[in-house]
Amino acid sequence: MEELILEMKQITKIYGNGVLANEKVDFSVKKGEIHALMGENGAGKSTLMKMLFGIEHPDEGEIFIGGKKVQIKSPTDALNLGIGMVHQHFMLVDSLTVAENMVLRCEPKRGLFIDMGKAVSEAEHIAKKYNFQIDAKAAVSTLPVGMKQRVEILKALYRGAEILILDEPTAVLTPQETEELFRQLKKLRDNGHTIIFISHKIREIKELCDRITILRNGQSKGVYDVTEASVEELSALVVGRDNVKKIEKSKAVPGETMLCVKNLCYGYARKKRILNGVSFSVRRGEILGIAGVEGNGQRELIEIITQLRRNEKGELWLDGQNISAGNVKQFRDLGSGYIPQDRLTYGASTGASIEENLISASSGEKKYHNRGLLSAARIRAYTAQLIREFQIKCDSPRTNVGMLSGGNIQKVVVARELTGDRNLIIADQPTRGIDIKTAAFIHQRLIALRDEGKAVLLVSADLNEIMELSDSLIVMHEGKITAYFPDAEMVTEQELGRYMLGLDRQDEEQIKEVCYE
Amino acid sequence: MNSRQVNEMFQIIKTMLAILVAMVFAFLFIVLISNEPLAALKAFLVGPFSSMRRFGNLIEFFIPVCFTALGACIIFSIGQCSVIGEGAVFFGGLIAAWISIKMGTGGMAVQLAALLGAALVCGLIAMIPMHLKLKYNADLFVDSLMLNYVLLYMGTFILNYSIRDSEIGMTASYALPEGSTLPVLVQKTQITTALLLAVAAVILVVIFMEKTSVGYQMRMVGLNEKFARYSGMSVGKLCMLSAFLGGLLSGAGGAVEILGRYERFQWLGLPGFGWDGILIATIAGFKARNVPIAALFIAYIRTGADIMNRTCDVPSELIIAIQSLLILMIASRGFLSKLHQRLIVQHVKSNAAESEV
Repeated sequence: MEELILEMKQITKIYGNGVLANEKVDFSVKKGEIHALMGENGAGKSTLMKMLFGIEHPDEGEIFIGGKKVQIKSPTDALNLGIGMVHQHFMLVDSLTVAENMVLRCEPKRGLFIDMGKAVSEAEHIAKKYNFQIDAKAAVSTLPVGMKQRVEILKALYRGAEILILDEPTAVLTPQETEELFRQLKKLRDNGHTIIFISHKIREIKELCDRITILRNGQSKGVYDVTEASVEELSALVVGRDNVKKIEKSKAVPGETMLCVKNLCYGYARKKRILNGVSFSVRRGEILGIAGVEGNGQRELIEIITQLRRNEKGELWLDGQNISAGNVKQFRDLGSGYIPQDRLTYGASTGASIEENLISASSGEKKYHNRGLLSAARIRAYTAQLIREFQIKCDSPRTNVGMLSGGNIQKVVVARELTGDRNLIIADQPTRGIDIKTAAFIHQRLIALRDEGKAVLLVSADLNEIMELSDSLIVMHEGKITAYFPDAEMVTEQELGRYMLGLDRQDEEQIKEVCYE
Repeated sequence: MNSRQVNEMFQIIKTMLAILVAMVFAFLFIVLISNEPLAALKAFLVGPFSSMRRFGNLIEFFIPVCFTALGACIIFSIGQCSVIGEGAVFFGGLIAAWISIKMGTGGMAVQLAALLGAALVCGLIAMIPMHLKLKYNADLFVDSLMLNYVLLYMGTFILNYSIRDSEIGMTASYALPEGSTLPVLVQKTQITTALLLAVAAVILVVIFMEKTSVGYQMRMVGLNEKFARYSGMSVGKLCMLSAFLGGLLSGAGGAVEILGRYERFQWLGLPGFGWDGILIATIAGFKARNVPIAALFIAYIRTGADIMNRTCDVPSELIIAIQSLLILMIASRGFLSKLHQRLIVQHVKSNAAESEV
């Protein structure tokens, strides 16, 4: 019988903002397996793993490694116990080389100095051992995301990790990179390593993992053999209902052009234009999706359109008005809503109440005022309606937004941005890190707005979302639009992947078709 | 009780406990160094209420710091760390005296002109460091701090070359014209109509910060500037306005102090009300509605220490140590953070238990 290398018993964790992240969770992993940890966002997966890696500490419960009870006070403790973690956001020093990053904090020394030659050879040795191809002397900042992830994995292995925790490793990867990662993980498993794979993508878990533990609302919903459970069963366990359905929507009926972007150019990164002559338009009644691997100019493009970033060159037209040198207020006054990808920095103010967050873009409006002063009653009435309509779970409308779960924070943002007299909605990663139920809710709202004849511009790194939700698609690669698909349903995942990686490129005539007058 | 109330309650507990610890420290200190600790303690604690004149001292101290604390609340609640209040309170006093002397007569109109003139000038001056920050990304704290000394020496220059009375034996301005000073409200004290102005200022600032959309926007900028910008607020304009209002209030504080309690302008150094204002605003959590109580508390321990200093053998500098301790505990996030965590855990558990029933 295989031995249990790791056991977590009756773990409870409550965060300072009152969120009950884990409640009496049991979690155990066998030696030499790939064990999936699955659940909606906010289900407590990351918290559980952070406690295993010593970043957070359980309020109750015990942890056993190899049958021995342990206290994991810090990541150093965890590393000493042979636990390594690859975080969702990489913990690498960009300016250092791959080898330097790998040996960080356990550098080979020659006298007082770091033995660089040895560091490089050790890094190369370990990469070779596990069959990872990597240039040990390259600066991390020059590497693509997939490579950085490999460096993170190697770093953990270099420090002797037997148990490897991967926190949503495929979220940032293209389909091709994901396949490569899976091959390597399987090889690691065959070498006797144990891998904990956090994900909420059922298909990937099916392909890669041996067993699965499902968390929902901070509680364990049981352990299953991946080969025995069906996709439908597993997804039912995760959300408590069947959700593998496709997003249902009618055919789009595009109307007049709402947003028109003409020949936008912006900045330089590594001697290349971040945005290099981007032109497209979004019409009423359609959802235009921008697909692309992150970091290909989407962020800058959206921030320029929404006036958060100064436009350098090129023109922006919104509803027939030139906003090339506009400001946020003008942009919003023309009836735009914007769901930003960074909801804790831009989208919401965590230290302010739900009410205060909901009125931020319209606080000067008459509907909140009574005899020239803000009226608590009127604000309450207006926000109560939004809280009901968008099903924001809270104990009071005056609760600070920082106390809410990720999904509910996003509902606050969405409620504010989608309500009111809207012409254009810009949704940048609207459901990233959000539980499936809320994601489906947001998708429905966006489709409903489209059906009302609003223009929607969608950016998403989630292939499933971008393919299902969009009516038409453009692909961005290295600051350029490399493809336009007038009908998103005609594109396959593999095809899209090739454009996203820059392997394919449509000719100019095809791309130009996305510009409507 | 919802989680917001738990947090608010925690803030109150924290402030109260900080005050308690500071006071215990003060008592220990008094007991240790004094030969007559009981008399000293009595002077410190009940001294401010032992006579009308002493209670008057308390209120007299309360008035200017109430203004400067309100100013600090407005500036700090937008998330900007400008300490211009100190320079503004000095310069406000000077400008008020200058206007009164130059106008040469008394009466309501002169008082109003002196007060408004001083406030306006200080409001405009307070916008300088904010402008430098917004335009050139200069450090607001350093700039405003330095500007305080520019104001001090510029003010001293104006005093010496424009309104100095060379016929008296000290450096001071001409006497303020008869009837240009504020009328006394309570006999045997120097409590003037300035107290009414202070109360009015509190009410106006509370309404402004809590009940107008501009005040709301300022608070939002303070909580998360990026969020404010994203929401379409004009962050720059709001910052300039908050600096203006902050300077205006501090300037008014200096003006009522000079017009209420002095016969001549005779400040040769920064009077310190601006620093006290920041201290009080910190205790008040930068909320205008808490300013009166926090200002009264500081005025109380100041007056008490002063009386103790005069009647017993304990130096009034003790109060500075107490204040430092207070600020340290109130401003530090780590203080009592474990209790906070326990309160929250308890709250969540009891909620969970309730929902199961």
